[in-house]
Amino acid sequence: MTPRSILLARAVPPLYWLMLAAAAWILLRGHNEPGGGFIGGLVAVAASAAVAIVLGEAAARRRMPRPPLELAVLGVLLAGLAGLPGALAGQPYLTHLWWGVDLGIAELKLSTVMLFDLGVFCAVWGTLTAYLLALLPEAAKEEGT
Amino acid sequence: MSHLAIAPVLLPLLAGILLLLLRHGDIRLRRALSVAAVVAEIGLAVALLLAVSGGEILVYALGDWPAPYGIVLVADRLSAWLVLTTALLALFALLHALRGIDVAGRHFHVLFQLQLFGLAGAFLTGDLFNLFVFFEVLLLASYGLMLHGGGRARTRAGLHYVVLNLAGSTLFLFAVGTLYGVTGTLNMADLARQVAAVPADNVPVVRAAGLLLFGVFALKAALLPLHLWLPAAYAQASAPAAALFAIMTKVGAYAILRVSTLMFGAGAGPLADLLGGWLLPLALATLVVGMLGAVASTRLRAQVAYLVVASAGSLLTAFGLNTADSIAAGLYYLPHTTFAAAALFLISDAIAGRRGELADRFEPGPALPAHALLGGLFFVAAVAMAGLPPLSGFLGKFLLLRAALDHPWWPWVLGTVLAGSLLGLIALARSGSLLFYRARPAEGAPPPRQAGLTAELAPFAGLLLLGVGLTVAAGPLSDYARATAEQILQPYHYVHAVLGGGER
Repeated sequence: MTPRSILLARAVPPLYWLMLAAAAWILLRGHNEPGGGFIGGLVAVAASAAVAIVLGEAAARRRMPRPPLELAVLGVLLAGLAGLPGALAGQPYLTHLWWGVDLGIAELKLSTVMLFDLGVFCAVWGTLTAYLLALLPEAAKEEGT
Repeated sequence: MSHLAIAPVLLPLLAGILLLLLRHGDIRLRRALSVAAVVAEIGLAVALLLAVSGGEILVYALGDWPAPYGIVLVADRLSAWLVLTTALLALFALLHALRGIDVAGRHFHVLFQLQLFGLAGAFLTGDLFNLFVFFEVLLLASYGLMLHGGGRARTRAGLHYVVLNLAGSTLFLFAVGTLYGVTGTLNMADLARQVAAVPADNVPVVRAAGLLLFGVFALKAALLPLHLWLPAAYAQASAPAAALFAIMTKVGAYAILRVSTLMFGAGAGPLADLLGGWLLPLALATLVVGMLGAVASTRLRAQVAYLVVASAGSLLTAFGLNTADSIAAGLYYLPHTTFAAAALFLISDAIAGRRGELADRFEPGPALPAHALLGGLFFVAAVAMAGLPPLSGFLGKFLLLRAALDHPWWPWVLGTVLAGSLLGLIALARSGSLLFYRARPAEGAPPPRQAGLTAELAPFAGLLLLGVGLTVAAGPLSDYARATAEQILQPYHYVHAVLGGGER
């Protein structure tokens, strides 16, 4: 990754958080509008990719909440478990439950779909980042030769 | 709300995720968890079989979204039969792997459970796109299992396997997309209705999509001329993986049977009997080519792989005859041939491990330790695979031949099946006599007593016992197969169970 660009190196850390915020926004708006866990997860991968390309894969790995593969597994587990409350309530698996919480100014909608989407988000972010971080050093090696 | 239809799909998925979380944990814990999950899967499969054996069709609407808008799982006799076969096979393949092969590479148990997840899902889903997804799940897991343990030859065979299946998956997607474009649905029961009512302009399009779909299934089922990937892949995979893969060609056969009876059956109007003239001749040719390959093989593992091709030929011959009797014969033959092929893969591993450099090549080598036990068991497995009495393979072939007598092509079917059996017999007799009789006396000191031979052969013996069980319980089991065939030849019940309503 030489020669390094000082501008990129300085810009990437705040950009990372900005992109994650965008990812979270996309994840949340996916309830009733285009978006959701999968697309949000892809944006989060783009954030990790930016850090990995500019600051190196170790830096990207450090900024992840959990190691990539573990994040992916936890995401799949969360998505799988999100289907269970409905099944325990006597409905088919993956039947989602909704609760409205009145906050005075607006109604906050909580649901098991949210958990499912969060699981998908983590699974996408973890899986693709795991691939990325495994392949980047290979690409760097090929560039070096 | 009974969750019986989804339980066999969810259990291996959750077990796989747990095993992935525990991937750095104690190997004994992971093995225990993996075996416990497969044993529980057998229990669930038996419960499912009992629940549907009376002719009920369990429909499970995921997320409570009604068909045809949501995705449904549908358990009928055919699905339950195949899920149970898979679970039983998986137990013995897994027990064999516990002897050390599972630690020769990474994530064996995770991949194994995910493979079961894909298999169970493929058998139980009632949605064509979902079938594609489960095919992908089981293929992705099988890529990992195929390459498990590494090595040059295995990687090369694995590469062919991966590339071919990726091409197959792409074509699958084209076919599914075309069907969706014309009919606007992917629910299999709804497709059955829509295909029958397709306007005349669109009939050629649906025909093309249907044939493309069958082409993809034929690739998975190793039907001639799409069988070429199988011998190399199965001969190179590790023994437990190859044993589990014995069910993989049956997934293709299942998909052919399900789609041809449900969507392109007698009630499909202008598209009825889409496969009519194709399936039977191709299946017979597959049978012959598989048996010739078995005769020409120079290694035991390759020979068994060719026998798998031949058994796919027999199975599809039964499905191609397309009568209740012949389909019943095929369904009775299916678990038998799966178990027998898996048993041969396991014992060829035991034999190869005792011949040093020669491995499983057909060259005279030093006498095997415990040759009487190994040879005896090989003989039993060979008898089962070749379809000689008294084991269930003979019954399956007998039922098939009897069912073929009503078909106009019966001389061809009888001649090919009998000649194929003879070729298989010659191939196995030749390899058995070469491995066990034409042995040089061992040079120097006799090899050290091989400890643990009985333990090593236990999974193998278990598979043979399943074959014996199929023979002993032939009465009730062939009745079940017969009832299954009658059920799937009346797709109205399936459509009605999924979509409700009276009109067809």
